[in-house]
Amino acid sequence: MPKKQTRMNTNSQQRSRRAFITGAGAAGVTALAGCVGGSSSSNETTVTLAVSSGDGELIDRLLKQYVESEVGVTTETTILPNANLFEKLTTMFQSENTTYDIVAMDDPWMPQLAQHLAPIHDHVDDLPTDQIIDQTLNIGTWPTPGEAVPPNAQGKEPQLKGLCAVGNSHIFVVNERLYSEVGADLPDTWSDVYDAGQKISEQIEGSEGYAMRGKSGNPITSSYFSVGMSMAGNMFTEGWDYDWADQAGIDAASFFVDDLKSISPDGVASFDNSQVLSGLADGSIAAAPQWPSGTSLLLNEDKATEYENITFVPVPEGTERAAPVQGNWLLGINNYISSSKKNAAGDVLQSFVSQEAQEQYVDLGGVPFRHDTFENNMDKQPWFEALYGSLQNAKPRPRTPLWSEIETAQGQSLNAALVDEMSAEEAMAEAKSSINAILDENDY
Amino acid sequence: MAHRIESADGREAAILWLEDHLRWILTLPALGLLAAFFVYPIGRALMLSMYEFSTSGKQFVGVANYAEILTAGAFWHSLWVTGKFMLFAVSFEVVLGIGIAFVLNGHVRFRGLVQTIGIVPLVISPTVVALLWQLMYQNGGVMDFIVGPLTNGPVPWLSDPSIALYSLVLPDVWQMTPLVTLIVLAGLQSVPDHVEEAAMIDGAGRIRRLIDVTLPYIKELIVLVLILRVVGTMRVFAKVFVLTRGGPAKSTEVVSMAMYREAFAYGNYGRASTMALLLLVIALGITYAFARLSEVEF
Repeated sequence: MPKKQTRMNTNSQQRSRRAFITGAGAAGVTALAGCVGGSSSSNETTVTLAVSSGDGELIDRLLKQYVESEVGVTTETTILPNANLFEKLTTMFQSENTTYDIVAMDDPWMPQLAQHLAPIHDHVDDLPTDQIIDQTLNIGTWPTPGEAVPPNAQGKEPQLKGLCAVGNSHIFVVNERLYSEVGADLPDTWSDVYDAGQKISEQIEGSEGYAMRGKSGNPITSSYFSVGMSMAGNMFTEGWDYDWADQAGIDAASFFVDDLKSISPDGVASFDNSQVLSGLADGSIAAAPQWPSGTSLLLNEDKATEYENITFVPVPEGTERAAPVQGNWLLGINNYISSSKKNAAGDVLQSFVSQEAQEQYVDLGGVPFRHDTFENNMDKQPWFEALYGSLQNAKPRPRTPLWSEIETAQGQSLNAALVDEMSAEEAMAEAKSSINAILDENDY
Repeated sequence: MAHRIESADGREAAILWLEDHLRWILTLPALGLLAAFFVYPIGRALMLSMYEFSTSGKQFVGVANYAEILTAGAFWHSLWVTGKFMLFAVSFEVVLGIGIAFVLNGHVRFRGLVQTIGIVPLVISPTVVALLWQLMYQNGGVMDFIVGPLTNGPVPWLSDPSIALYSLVLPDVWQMTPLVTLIVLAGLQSVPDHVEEAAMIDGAGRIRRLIDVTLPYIKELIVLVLILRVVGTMRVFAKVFVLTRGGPAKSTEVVSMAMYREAFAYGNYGRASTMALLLLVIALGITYAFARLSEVEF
């Protein structure tokens, strides 16, 4: 009896051990499948997105508020800081990962990421191209029409790979009070900015006529771009020759580092956007280009003493043309997800850019990119008219994966000229030399 | 009976084995952590440094990244700038820190309070320190007010290439001097009173006592703090990024700034890893040299 009982106990222990191992194994396999499977195991009614903080939060709100019910899908949005998003996307695409169905990109990332994106027209049936501003469609097209094409994209048929989600472009902020005090009209050209700025710097104590982001690298290049493009034309020829070291380029650089600097606050070579915004807000700076995101501070009566005097105009024209720098955020479809997922992602995008959705997007605080959205909502924001004007003349930064390196080289030379370490002519020659070296090294 | 004896022998053998290997078993978690957080990252960086990264993936290039960086003027320039920053920052921090430690080691009223206040800069993130100093450096800001009697107007703290690097040294000195003070003060307080008294009875003056008694006692700590600060200043990043981004005219282009750009702006983790490893080798070299020259063993 005891022996039998022992055997029974042993059998029972073995059974329970076996049951435990089976159960644990099943749970482990399930957990592992969950880890490995990721989004590929989700059904087509769930579309996953990776967006950046700021505008990404508005995109997510619009998806939840309007798009989900219109399309009949659930969206799962991951909001990441700007720099992390880029890193995440490059890592994800290099391993052909399918975690995110739709990804948000700053437009300079397009040359790096386009090869990993599905053509939008293959998955969006009825795109309202007549209403979407051409510049925002072009910037999402790869290779970008009318721009120099990098070697790895030459001969490729241009395809729309990214749809605009944020119609950003530089706008020009002007303090109307300071301008009227010196009897100046709102500026149409860069010469107007300089003329009015001289008077303000000379006649009004504590105020300067202009301010650029003079800090080395990206800030100064971003600040200079609208000046250079409007006075010296494109930065590169179609064959990728740096084209800002000719006389027009030197004149443009000289206007920036000599003339505009002379009407800027002391120490402008270390300014980034926070200093420019704060100067505009308190009236110590009369005019400067800004991204639309900067307007929230300038129009806030608690934060900007000059909020009532701030007005917005399109970025001024140069000797050749108006060329505000374009900075759109785009939404693209991951090329490595299944066809049905791509179609679901296409439906989400189609709904997102629809007129109805965009009307709500503006109410949420979004930056529009459709003609009809601008026209119907012009009075919703005091800067919409300026943005609408700027966006239709906007120029993208050169379309190359090497843009970060190029803008750093350009920015270092401009910054050196801004602090009088070299002349504008020397700065442009140095920029040409270092930028050509970067291009040569990459077989351009 | 035989079974029981075998079982007892086995248990004894297991206990003996455990006793023999206990030190290794107890060390394993620490070794695991060391491997995870020290050996693996260095190994990974070494591996990455052998690759060229592009949008289509990565390509093995062997030691090409090392050759390219070591033959490029930009790296040597940033190394030179880092060296200058290190020299000025460490010199001020160590001299000031030791000086303050000696003062606090005397009979100072409210020493505890002073020590507590002194720790505050240490616990602030370098980014926040940089933002605070950005405000202080702005036109008409606190720094202009302080040096006002000596200058004719606002000082271009961050926009003059001949000044900008020193304007980065100041926040570092402000933040890190308390570290030197705390460590050296701890050393000073461990010098036995009777040794000082014996030297005094033997007729040693204040300077002689300092050289022959106090300094030998705290030599190890001074070398330690020197090494900590040399390595710390070689890695300076947040202050440069916030205040100057390497400008004006590349005058503050430290190695970590160039590394950041390579990795996070250009996406070339290979070249960034190469720079990081080169910096590591230099830091190890300096540390070894300090230890050898001072004849200190840690």
